[in-house]
Amino acid sequence: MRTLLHILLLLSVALPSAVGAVLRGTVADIATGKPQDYALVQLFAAGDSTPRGAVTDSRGAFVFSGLQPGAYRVKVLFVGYEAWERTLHIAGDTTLRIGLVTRPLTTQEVVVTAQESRGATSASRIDRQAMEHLQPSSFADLLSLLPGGMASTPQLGTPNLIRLREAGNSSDDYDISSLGTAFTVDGVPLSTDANLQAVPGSSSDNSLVSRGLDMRAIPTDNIESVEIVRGIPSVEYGDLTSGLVNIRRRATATPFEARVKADEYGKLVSLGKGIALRGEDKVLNIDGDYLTARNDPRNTLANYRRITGSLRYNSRETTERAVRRWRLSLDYSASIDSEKTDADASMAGDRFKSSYNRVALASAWNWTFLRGGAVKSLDVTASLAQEFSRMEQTKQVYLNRAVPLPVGMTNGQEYDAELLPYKYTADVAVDGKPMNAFIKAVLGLGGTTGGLKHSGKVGLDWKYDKNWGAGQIYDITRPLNPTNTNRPRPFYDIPAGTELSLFAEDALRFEAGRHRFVVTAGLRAMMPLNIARDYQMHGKVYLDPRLNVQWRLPSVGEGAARWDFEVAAGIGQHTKTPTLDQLYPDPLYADLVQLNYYPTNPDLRRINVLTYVWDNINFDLRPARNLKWEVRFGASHRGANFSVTYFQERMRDGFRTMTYYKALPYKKYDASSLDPSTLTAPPDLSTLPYTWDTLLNTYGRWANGTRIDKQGVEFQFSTSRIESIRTRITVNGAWFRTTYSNSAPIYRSSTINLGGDPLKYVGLYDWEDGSVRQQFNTNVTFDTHIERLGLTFSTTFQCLWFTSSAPLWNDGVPVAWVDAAGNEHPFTEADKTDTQLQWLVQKYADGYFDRSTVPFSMDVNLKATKHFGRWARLAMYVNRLFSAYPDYYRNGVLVRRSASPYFGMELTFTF
Amino acid sequence: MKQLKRFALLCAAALTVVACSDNTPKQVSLGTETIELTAPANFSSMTVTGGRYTFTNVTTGVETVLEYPLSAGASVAEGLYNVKFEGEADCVVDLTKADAETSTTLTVKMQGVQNNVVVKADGSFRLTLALSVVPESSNDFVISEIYYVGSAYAADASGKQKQYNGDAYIKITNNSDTVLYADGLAFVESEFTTSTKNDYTPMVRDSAITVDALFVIPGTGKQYPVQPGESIVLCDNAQNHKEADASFMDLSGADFEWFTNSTNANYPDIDNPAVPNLEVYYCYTATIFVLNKQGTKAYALVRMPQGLTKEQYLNEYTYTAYYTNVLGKPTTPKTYYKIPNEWVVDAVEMRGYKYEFAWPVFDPSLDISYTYCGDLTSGTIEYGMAVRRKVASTTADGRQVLQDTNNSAEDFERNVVPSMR
Repeated sequence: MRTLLHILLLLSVALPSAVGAVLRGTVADIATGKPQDYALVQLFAAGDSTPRGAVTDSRGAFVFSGLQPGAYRVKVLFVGYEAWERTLHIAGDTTLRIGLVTRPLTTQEVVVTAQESRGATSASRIDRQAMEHLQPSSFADLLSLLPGGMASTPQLGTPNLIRLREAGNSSDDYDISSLGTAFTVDGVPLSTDANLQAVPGSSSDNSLVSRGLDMRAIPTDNIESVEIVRGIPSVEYGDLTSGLVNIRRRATATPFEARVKADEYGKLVSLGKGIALRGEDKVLNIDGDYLTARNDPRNTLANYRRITGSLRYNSRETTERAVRRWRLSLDYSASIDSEKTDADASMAGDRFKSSYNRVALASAWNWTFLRGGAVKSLDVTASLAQEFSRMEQTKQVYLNRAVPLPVGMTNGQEYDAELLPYKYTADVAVDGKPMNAFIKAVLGLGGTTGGLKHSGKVGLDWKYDKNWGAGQIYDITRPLNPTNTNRPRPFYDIPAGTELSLFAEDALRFEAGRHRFVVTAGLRAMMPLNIARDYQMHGKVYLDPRLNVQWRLPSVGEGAARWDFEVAAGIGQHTKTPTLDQLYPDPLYADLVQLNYYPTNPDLRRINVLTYVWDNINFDLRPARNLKWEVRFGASHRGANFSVTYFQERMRDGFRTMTYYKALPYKKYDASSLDPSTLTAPPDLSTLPYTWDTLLNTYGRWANGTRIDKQGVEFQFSTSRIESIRTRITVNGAWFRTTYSNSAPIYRSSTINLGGDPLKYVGLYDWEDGSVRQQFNTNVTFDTHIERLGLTFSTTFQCLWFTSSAPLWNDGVPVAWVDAAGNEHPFTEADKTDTQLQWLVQKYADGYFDRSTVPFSMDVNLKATKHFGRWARLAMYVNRLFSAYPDYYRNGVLVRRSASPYFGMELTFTF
Repeated sequence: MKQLKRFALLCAAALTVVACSDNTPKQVSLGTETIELTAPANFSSMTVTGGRYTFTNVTTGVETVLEYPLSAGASVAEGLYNVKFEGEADCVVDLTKADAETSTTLTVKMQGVQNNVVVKADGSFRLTLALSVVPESSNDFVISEIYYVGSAYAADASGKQKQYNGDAYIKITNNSDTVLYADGLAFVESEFTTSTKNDYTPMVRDSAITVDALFVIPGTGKQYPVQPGESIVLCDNAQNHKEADASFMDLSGADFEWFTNSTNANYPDIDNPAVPNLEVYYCYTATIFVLNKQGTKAYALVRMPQGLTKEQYLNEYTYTAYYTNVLGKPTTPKTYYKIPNEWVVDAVEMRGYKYEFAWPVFDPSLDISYTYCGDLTSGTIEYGMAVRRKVASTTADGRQVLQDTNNSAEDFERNVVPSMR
């Protein structure tokens, strides 16, 4: 806090005056004479270690004014060039012409794998070269470069969800893994919180509601670089539990590029160009792509198509005092996930169409202040994204048996139900219009207090998620699925989700002897704003403290033979708020038949139904929180880098649908006294005797009931390029041990009919229903780059040493049982043999809890990229060109495995 | 290059030779002592007097019939066989297991079957066939018709059809010459499927059948008389299903409904008050019970012992078993309900038209074969077909006696038009 005060004080006094000499200059390439913009020019006054800085403009010019006469040191730094440095005496206005000498472009710089970040926390950085070599169809393919990642055949028929640092569990109960991973594109988060697109009465795998972002929708061609933060991200980033994916798109002038890719499952075409409008200061990037893919080349019915287009304008203006950047982007993306119903099974008149369109407008302003002072920069980002999703289905419904139709809309409504017609046409539309607005402002601060160098930031962000769609639109008397008990609800009635977060962070750099330290400490405070008083989250502030410490040890040895070591550690809290679907679920309807009187004479029939309606809201729902800590050790020597990270993550309140029960009383009419042969009208309810009965209805509701404990070791080792063979070796891998289970007691009901009625009791189980999964893999990549031939090729030996899974132990016995009236009773020893209650005891076979392990397997993947002059680049890959899947015995049974190659090719033209 | 060609030719020739030698199966001579015929447990002695073995090659379908006793030169080709014995035997049936005086010697028809027998020429072939009595004529209720495949709506403009399941039924006939009472008679479906054989541990098949649904005809004991040759119909919904489509069944006159009283709002059911409901002892589903449409279950009629209450049955006749799955891992033990074989009045094993018959899920003494609807060769089925028991004879007073030799393949007509259409 005191540091912050210091910074604010510095800010108020750092306004220098402008009198004195002027130093002007230009920076150019010494060989070609071409002016170089964006070069950093630093001016050190004699005896002062804090320089004044300037960045050259498009003419390569820079200027410093208000200089007191004296000795100065000028230093020019620019990527790809040797640093230029000179000391001069300034008496009056001076002009410099600086020629920069190119640094010999070593083959070292071509990196086709992910690089481990050198920053405070564990993160992987993937840049364009790696992406070009990888030949991805969508963002999902990039994850194979992470420690623990493996190249696998793309699954473009189903949503691709991200799971970082996990051994993997595909159950819906653990979707917080993907929901809790934040994606930002140029600083703007891609929010999925207002997605409610689900087909009534169906649990389709293709639904993305409350499951996070579908990585298929993100094209890779306009990406400059990606940083995937596996560890503890800066407090600047929130609404995440698992990790952060930071995508930075291209913002520089680039030649026209066209890429055509084809593989077994799909085709992709992408076009893009970065147009320099005025020098390099104003650049317009235009790009777009089209992907069409099938999950199974033999199945022509299920098809995924993606169309994206992006317009990005970047401008920069350099004045003496600041560099001002402004970015405006307009993005469009559409995807069509069409599943034409099987021609053999669908009836004449059946139709299905589903589309997704997204338009996003974003703007960002950045000021970088060149003058010394506490305020170093100001960033303001604002964005507005609107999706238009629509699913339309027409289906000819044929009942496979007579079905009474519940249509009650209010709680407690008693009415006579009609039967659904045996044949009818159902028309259903789901109209979703999720909108996300986002504003963020960050003030970058810096300064020195004593021996401490501060670089901090304070800021706030605000997000707003709302769905304006009309929701599920259908006639409840003609449902798509006869077993549907939902009722339509417009999405626009659902309140918006709004969050405000404030954050402050300071990175302290200091030295103790030859030890150097960077301590980054930050705090993020998140407040849900637009949430009703009934919710436990109302008025709460959720604090995410995060701390990363990086300790660079003194170097050992001198010159080229030097060894550098560092140790880093971090701990942090991460919070993800529930989605709109989780906060405002559809109300539940239970329709109980009170009289079932259906003789063959239609005039005598009466089916009386009682409808219960209740809000299925869990007012106790809290944000999911994940506590992470990690320790990292890194070493580098002669351009080779090694790092190993041990981490643990602990989450106890992930979201899942948990089963609850409700005791619903209803009248059981007794019509046995009536003789259908003498009746002339339906039974008169007012004269019919009845008894009260209670139905124990179980239903699912969102709750904080998921536990995911992650533990593991990630490592990466890369050599510098070995000149004699022009090859670089990268080894990465990870061991993950993930525990998946429930974190709250579970209710379960049985599904049998015992003695004429459905089993009436519900069991309460206070044990962990889950598993411990492990995986250990390593990838060894040899990549060779021959500059002269324009050829890069890489061979990856992808070894999966083992995967294993062991169910968590439990005795199968409930702690309590709930009777038909809804009262809970402890489950006793005697209950285990009770006719009814014995069915609540779960039994396990001998060896059920044993760990089952899948042993070693290996794939060899080959990739090659060849440049043909400046115009064309051809790339191809074969995954699993060779593979070793040894047979193994499991419980005495021989298991044979096989793998088939997967390959693709692409051609890129550059003009 | 030339050498390479020569080498390839040689290889091809070698392969041909190998292939030829593989294609000539060796004959296996069956000595008299290789097959042992064993008597049912309640026989104190059995002397087989004659008969024949039928070896049906599972792979080729070729049948080899060998007379009993086997002649010295009797042989079959190596292969995988279903072996059936049909013949006669003189038996002493021990009725009291104590008093020799009450034992009687009978000459009865016996039969036995064993599926998937490996016959190899290495001298290892040994077979034990458990024989059971072929009833001369049944004197009890029999399952006379099963309509399980469901109906199909009339084709739409595109020529496609949708299925309808609500009109499934089974018919039970009094095949005796006296009035029988249906009270306490139960209709059951097997828990296990005939398409998948698992090594259930413990295995109780030789003493009990395992059921996934047990529906009992209510009554005082004398409430539902059935005249000789007359039938009763048990169905899902006793309605005139022709309301939905003209080709469906009219079951408005059915005798009993299985109404499982589904309280699940997603699966509401309808109940005809004019038709009594079967008493549900147990059903694997709390929603709606439909006969297995794939046809991979077996069905039986069971006479529940008098005096045994529902509660007693549910308490005392559970059966917990597990099996080892294909990965060699034991499965979670499940609790089932079982019914002793002695209570079984009639049983019919079914085979799914798309599946192999992996095993008889009931003891073979209850039914040594199976019946089915559909076409096993093409794996297709026409909806609206039933299986119906053949008429063995007609008595002087015009009563049709249905064939019941506990051999469903022979006793049933397949793919017949349901009698209730």
